[in-house]
Amino acid sequence: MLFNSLAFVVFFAIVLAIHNLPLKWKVKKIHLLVASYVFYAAWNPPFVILLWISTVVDWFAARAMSRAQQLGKRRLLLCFSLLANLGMLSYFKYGKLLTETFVQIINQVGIEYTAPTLDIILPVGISFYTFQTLSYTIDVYLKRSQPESSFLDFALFVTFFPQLVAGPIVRPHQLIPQFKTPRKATGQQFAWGLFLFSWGLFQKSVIADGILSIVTGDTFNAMRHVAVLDAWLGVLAFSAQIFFDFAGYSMCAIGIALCLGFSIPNNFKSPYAAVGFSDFWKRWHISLSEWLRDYLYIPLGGNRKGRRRTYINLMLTMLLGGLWHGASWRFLIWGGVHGLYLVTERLLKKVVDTEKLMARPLVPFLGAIATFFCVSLTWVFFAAKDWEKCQQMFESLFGLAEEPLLVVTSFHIFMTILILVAMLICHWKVRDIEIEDVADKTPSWLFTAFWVTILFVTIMTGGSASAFIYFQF
Amino acid sequence: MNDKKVQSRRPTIERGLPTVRVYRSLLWVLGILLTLIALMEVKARYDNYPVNYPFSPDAWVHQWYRLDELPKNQTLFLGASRVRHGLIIDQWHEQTGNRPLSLAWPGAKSLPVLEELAQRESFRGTVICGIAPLIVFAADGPPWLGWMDQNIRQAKMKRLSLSYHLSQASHHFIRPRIKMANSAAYSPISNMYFNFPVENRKGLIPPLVFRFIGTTDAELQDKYLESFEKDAELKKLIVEQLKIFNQRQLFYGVADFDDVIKRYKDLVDKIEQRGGNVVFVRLPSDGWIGDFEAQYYPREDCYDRLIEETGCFGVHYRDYPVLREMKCVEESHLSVGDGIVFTTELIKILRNAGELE
Repeated sequence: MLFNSLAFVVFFAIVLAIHNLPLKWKVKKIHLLVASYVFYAAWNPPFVILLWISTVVDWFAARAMSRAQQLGKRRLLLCFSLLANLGMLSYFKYGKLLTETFVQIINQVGIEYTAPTLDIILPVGISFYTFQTLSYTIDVYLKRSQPESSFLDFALFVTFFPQLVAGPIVRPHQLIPQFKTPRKATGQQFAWGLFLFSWGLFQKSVIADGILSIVTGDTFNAMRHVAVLDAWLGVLAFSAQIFFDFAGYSMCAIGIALCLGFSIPNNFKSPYAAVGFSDFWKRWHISLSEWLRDYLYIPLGGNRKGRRRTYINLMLTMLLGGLWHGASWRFLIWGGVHGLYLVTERLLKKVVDTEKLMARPLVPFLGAIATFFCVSLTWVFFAAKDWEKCQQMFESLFGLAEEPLLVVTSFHIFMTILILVAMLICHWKVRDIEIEDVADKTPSWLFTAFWVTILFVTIMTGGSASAFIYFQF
Repeated sequence: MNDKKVQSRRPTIERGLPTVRVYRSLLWVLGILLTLIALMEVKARYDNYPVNYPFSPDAWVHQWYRLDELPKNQTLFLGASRVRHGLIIDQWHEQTGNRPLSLAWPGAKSLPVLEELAQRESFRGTVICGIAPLIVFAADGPPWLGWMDQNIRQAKMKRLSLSYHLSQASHHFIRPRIKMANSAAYSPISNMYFNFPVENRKGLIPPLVFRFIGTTDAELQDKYLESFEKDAELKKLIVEQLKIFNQRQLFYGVADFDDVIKRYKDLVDKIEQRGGNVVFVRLPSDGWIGDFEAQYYPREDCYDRLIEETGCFGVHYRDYPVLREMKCVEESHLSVGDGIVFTTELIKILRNAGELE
């Protein structure tokens, strides 16, 4: 069920009404769990079984792990959990890619083979909830936390609908304790939750879908090379589109949870105001980068095993992080380029006194702009549908195309530049403050006017509900 | 990436809230918003705003599912936008007593639907299949030619989807009742786009941004607005867009005509063996579009061969005096009035040929 659909509005109204009835807390939690399954099943009912498998396997694996005395047995149980979760993820997400790659390789060797066509539908949000449940079993294995005593609370942690299909990827310690005591939103929480939901919807429906998707669609779907200006506008528009789309979703998720009285952490913090790439990854899809840090980078040795090993660990983490986004080698390259950015940044920090440099006026701002452009270039691997298009776009960006096409209208040039400038200024202005602080600093009448405007424009823009880009991951 | 040690006892999170009283703002927001919506509704009713359904695969899927409940001998309309404008469902219903089901989709090929119908053992009905040469005989490549495959994929996925059924039910409930929900004409972005004061660069291929010039109902019937039919400047603009659209498509070349005809023949044979019937209809086109089709998809190589090799009954507008005289609104689609005339004539022709009871 999409947040930007009429069906969700009806669903959410019913959930809110029941959640606020004078019922026992346990009954309310059962209601939330059932609602979460309905939310997921609304898209494709049979895939709820995957959620159940994940829940049951990790529940029993973690409990058995905590009882087991021998390390070997604990390891075996962890492997079982990893195999079950990553097995499902691999089959549904990477099955087709792996088969195709295998066929290509053996055909290259000279063996003729055609694999049967795999018509696998990707269960929405599988990457998100797989990582979420994995964090639970790994934490129990590492004795960072005790296994959960209530199956209901654990099942709700895996399934909680606001962040089920596109994150933020919440950790057990962030969410499970919230299920222990009765929760109901206060007037302030409810109103603020609705504001966050409205703002997220506006970002998605109006900015990302209504304006930017047209620019990215026409540049990335053009029949052949596009002009330099069009290529840059397309790439930069995609940078903004993916931000507004995904940050919009996260904002909606946070707002919905808040309306029910729950707190979900931020997933974005002005990412395009990042100065440098490690700063970028502290601001972009924060829940994923923290997950990768805690469950991949640090277990690999982090930066504790020497410089060379640190670089290898960084590259490995980013490559796998790239592949997490999708079943295509383009995502692997995207992760690889980000890995290279991070390694280069570390190397530069060895030779340049960055603290001194950053103290100079304008340098941090220019650094943020440079980071934005470098990050934007990597989005080409995301937005292009195949390698040929990637090559075309890079050639177009650097003026290497013959007879390029002009595809972006004056209106869209104007709107894209306006949105980009506004986005970069806003990110820079609020790079170290929270949205709540911005609301506090805004005069009440202006805040109300802003809220009315975004809601009215969202309603009037209407259109068909299109899926969030990050659903495919 | 920070090499930070994970804490063993980590606190839960509790979001901070603004100190300003947001719920007060919420009351204002609700009040103002409801007033604005009410005003928009008054305006929409004053403008006599027509019911209009969004251009979404869900609308097609809804029609496809309806096929399950209809009789085996159901009449179907297949094809692209010319069918949606030129074959009027109400008129057909009035004249024949049977209400046809339209599965036509703009810019899309009908072959994938015909394939599905050929596989559907229960289907024994009549298919009125529109043949727009510049779509049926175009090479694959342009995204719109794949829209029908996308619709069929969605239909296979959404049968059990609660959100799909909920959203369809809410659309069908709300749209006829709340006029402003049919918001295409009032979309702020769309209005800004079409009224932007700066001219486009010379040689630009403009994007396909839908302008509010007509409506689509729940049965996939397209109708141009009267105001559009009378607006010469706007019609000129749409013709220009159609030209670009077709030139873009030509970049991918034309299809292998033999292959297309063979595929149609195989499918027609399957449907007819089960007692079904397929009729091909070539709706009018004229002006630049007509010349374009004649140049790249000549009648004798495409339409005539299709009729000859499939053995189906065909109605080409050029073969009938009344149809030949018809002029399209913008060189490719008929007006509502002409659509009624075309449908009436088509029924007469089919009855005379014994193709329709």
